[in-house]
Amino acid sequence: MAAYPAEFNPRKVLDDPAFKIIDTVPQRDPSINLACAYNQHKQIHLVQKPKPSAGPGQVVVHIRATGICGSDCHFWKHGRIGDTMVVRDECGAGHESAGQVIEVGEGVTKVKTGDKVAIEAGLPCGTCDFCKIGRYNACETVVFFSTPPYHGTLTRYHLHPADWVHKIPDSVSFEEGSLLEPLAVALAGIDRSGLRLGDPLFIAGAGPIGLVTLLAAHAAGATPIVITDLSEFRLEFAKKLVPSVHTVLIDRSSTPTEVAQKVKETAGLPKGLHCAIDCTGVESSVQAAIFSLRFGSTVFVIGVGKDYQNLPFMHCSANEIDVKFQYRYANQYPKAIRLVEGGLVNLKPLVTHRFTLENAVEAFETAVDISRGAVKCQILDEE
Amino acid sequence: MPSLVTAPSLTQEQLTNGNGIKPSAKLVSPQLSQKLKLGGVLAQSGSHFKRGKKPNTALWVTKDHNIYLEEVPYPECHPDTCIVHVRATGICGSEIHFWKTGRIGDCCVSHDLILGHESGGEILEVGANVKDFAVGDRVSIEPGVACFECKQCISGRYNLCPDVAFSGTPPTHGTMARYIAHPARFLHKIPTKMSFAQAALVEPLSVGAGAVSRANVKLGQPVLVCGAGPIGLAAALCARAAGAHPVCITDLDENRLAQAREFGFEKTVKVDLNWTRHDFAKEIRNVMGKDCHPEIAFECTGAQSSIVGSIYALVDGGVLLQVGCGKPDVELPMMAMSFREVSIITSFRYKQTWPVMIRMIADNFLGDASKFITHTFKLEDSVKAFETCVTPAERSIKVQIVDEDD
Repeated sequence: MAAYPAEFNPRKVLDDPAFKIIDTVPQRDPSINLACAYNQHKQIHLVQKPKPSAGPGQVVVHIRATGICGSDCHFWKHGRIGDTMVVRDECGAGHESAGQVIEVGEGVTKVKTGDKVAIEAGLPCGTCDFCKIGRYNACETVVFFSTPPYHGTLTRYHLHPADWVHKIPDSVSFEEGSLLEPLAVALAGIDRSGLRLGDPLFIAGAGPIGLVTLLAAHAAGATPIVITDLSEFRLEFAKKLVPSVHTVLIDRSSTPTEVAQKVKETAGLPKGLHCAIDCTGVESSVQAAIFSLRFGSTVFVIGVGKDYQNLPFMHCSANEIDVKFQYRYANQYPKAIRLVEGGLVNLKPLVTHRFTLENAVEAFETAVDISRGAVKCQILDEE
Repeated sequence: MPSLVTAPSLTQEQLTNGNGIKPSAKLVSPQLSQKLKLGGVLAQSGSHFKRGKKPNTALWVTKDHNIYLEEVPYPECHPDTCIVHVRATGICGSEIHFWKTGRIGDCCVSHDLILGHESGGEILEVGANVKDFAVGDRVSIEPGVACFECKQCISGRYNLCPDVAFSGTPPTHGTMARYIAHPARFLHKIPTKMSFAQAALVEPLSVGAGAVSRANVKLGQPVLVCGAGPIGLAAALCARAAGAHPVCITDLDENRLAQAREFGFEKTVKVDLNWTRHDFAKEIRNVMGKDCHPEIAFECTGAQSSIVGSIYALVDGGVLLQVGCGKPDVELPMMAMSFREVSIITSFRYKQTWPVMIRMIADNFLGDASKFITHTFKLEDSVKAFETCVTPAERSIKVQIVDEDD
């Protein structure tokens, strides 16, 4: 397990003679391991990678669906997230994937050829302190596909340890399988937020993470739920997903206190709601969340944003408001699969745009262009 | 405990107020005065027998297993109480138990007792100190009147108050009457869209909600519920509302399981008393799925075989949430629990569940909770209502006693 960084050394791909950048939109050729990569020059393009073969304990997955994440777009456009995740070379995008096992390596019994699987994209070492207590999202030597330098899962053929694929039932589609990743993010957040049955909840942000959090929080029995966003389109989308949600449109001139007041009024709770989940990472939004809650509540921050942010310290102090954070997820996939299979969370409506693998670049352009109204763009490869 | 004293020798005018309370030539008999006093209701022997618009019919139980109706005086309105016209009351299994066996554990029926603790009604009078309610307000009644002075109360566990006056549990008279007085602190307003019948469901559903809260049920957790009676169903509904999945329900009785399936619970297991603990565990784990051993088991039967079987069915590290009461002493497989870190958490009644449950029932969040109510009887037919509860062919879940508007 500690061998993952060596096993998935990106140089194995980049230095392979079969690796090349493709500047045009090719015809589909299943023999080619097509992928989509960003680089240190903030470019995004198709690349051809060597087709992997399964070693001991590994499987090769024909990736059938991959969702685009905001972090993929951020790596493309900005070349980094913080100081530790920096694009220095061609790096394959994508970490929200599901597909079909086409080859199993020696000793693999967990899955067999033909099985439908969802990919858990973070491979922890299994030996560090955090791995040993089950908080493997904290593993410092994790291989997280699509976080530079490890090539992502937005590819035709992907090599993965059998331990970290999750079988999905036939009733769950490949698209849903790929959406299990953002669902895992939301589930991890809800797990640690302390959200309870019947809790009035404020969700800040109706982007893909806010929306998947809305679906999960609704399934967890939060009520009433108030969701805010700058975009009327996104709020309407939220309402379609969960008709009972209360939406509040905000604009950049609203102060955090004003937003908090509107949220409390909408919920009919002048003393404040009982939990807030921020899915924006924006300072004013986190502040609004703090002001919207009653004594003893928690603001749970899933969103990521500026390195340094101001918080109303004394308000938090005098009201025992906790602010908690999240980094990726651990131990969420089996639960996510159960919830989707059981119909408690319906992820299908989140997909607004679909592209073939050959058109992956257009998918990314759609994802970053607000005017195209994308929520979740999926890249699909046929059988 | 509120002291409801009727003063002697009131004039006709003093006896009548805007609620149509009639003066009466009838006096409170010594026997009735004594019976009422033992249960915390003070009505002086020889005083005028105060009446409301209709007789204050009440349902009593005796220590020798009889139930009967007898009128009691219209209650006095203490400064911190409200007079409530009780419009709906559910019958609880504990009341059947008090009737048929005369005790639950150390709690004995030692004097004639007015039963009832699952009620909703309308406020007729408001005590002098009461600011939060008005005549006409529709309410759900929280029966456990805690003292809010002891250590348990002020540290937030008022369900454990040692001095609690719990309506309808010996020694305190309950809510199965037409008019009662109840401390305003334990009344909760209900929205207009909520019926009195639903208001009377808040109490049993709160037992389920209290258990779910103690178990800290989380979205996606596989959960087992033992027992498909009203409490098992309440726990299952609340667990499902919290996102537990899958939810499996057991019972000895196929009829009960059929009822559970009508609530949408597809995974049901009919328990065979010949099963060993390992058979029990295997059957449950089979039904719930290979990687889905229950993480929480809501034990709502109190039966030893079910408790032990659940312990074996639970996943390593799982929690048995004991809701049901059975025999005072139960033998547990302590070593098996130790080696797999299976724990027991107990849940007793509820605390601060009314505000949330009122919201959730009114918003149909638990599905149509009214499906719980299988039989409804008029107050005057309360004895028949109790008999229905103990007639298996009736397949009752929740039997309610209701009174029409005046």
